Amino acid sequence: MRRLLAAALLVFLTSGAQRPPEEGVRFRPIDVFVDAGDAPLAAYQVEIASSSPDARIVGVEGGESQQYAAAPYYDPAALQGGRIIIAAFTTEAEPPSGRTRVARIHMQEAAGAEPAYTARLMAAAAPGGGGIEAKVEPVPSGGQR
Amino acid sequence: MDRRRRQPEQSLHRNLEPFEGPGRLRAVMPEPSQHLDLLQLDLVRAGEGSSADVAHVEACARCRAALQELQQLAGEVASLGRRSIEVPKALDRAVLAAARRELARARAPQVLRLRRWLGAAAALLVVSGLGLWLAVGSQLSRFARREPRDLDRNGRVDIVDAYALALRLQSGAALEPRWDFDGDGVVGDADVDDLARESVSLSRRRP
Repeated sequence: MRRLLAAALLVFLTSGAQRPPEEGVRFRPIDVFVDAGDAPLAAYQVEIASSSPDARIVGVEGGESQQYAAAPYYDPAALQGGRIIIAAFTTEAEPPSGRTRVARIHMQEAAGAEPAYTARLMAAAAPGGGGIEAKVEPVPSGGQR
Repeated sequence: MDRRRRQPEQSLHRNLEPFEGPGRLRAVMPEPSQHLDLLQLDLVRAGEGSSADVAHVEACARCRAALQELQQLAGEVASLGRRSIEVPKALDRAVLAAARRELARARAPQVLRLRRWLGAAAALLVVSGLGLWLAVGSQLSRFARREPRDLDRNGRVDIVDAYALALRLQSGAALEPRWDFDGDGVVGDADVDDLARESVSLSRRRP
């Protein structure tokens, strides 16, 4: 009987140590905005990085405008990491201008943590390929458990 | 002043020490215990002598002569301080010219050294700028030759190169075989994708 109780106790204790690591995390989308001002945005390339080593990229999707609705180019190796480069272009006649949400990055973060995200513009071009000035802004939205 | 004023009886006939002054005065020096001594004579010359001393000088030719010598000497000494020394103009100009030469000689090396430094710095700047320009230019052209993916020749491969190739494909412009990045024998959309994926790769060697 004592042996049976000890075995049950051992199973109970070890089962606690094997809890899945996903517990205690949350998922949060990061909207990536590019503001090219009055210039039409024909191409962009942006680097997004998280300040927290616990934050991981789990998905990438396109933005709000029709020209950038498809998911941008990215390296699949960036998934499960905290840094990614995204890029897209459009050959359509009238690319969007002004502040445009070009992509959404889905992040997995530690519950309760508020990691900061930085964005760096690597390239932006107007129709024809001429370089333009633009601002990039990563905007985290409300997370879901 | 009381110390210098003596009673006439004492000073007239009981003179002090023998006079040890300059030769010219020594010749007119009154005889001891008969005439006025130099101190008394000087007081008389200054108008401060006693009436007895003044009376003695008036009566004594020797003391009168000594007083005249003393007055002459005092006049010469007083005139020394007022007399200005005349420097010949030629000497004045020569000294001024020599001073100017010395000053110019002292300044010349500094100016020369500064000019040399400025010249060297300008030459170094020109050589450095030329070297930098050549280095950057050759790097860019080498990169452009080695890296056909850099379509816009800005020194790096990014999404704008993929965009440029897509525009060429769309417009029907001439295509170069070296843009066949995936090696399938055709320059097409697959090469645009290949170029775009290359631009977002996290592991690629950055130019």
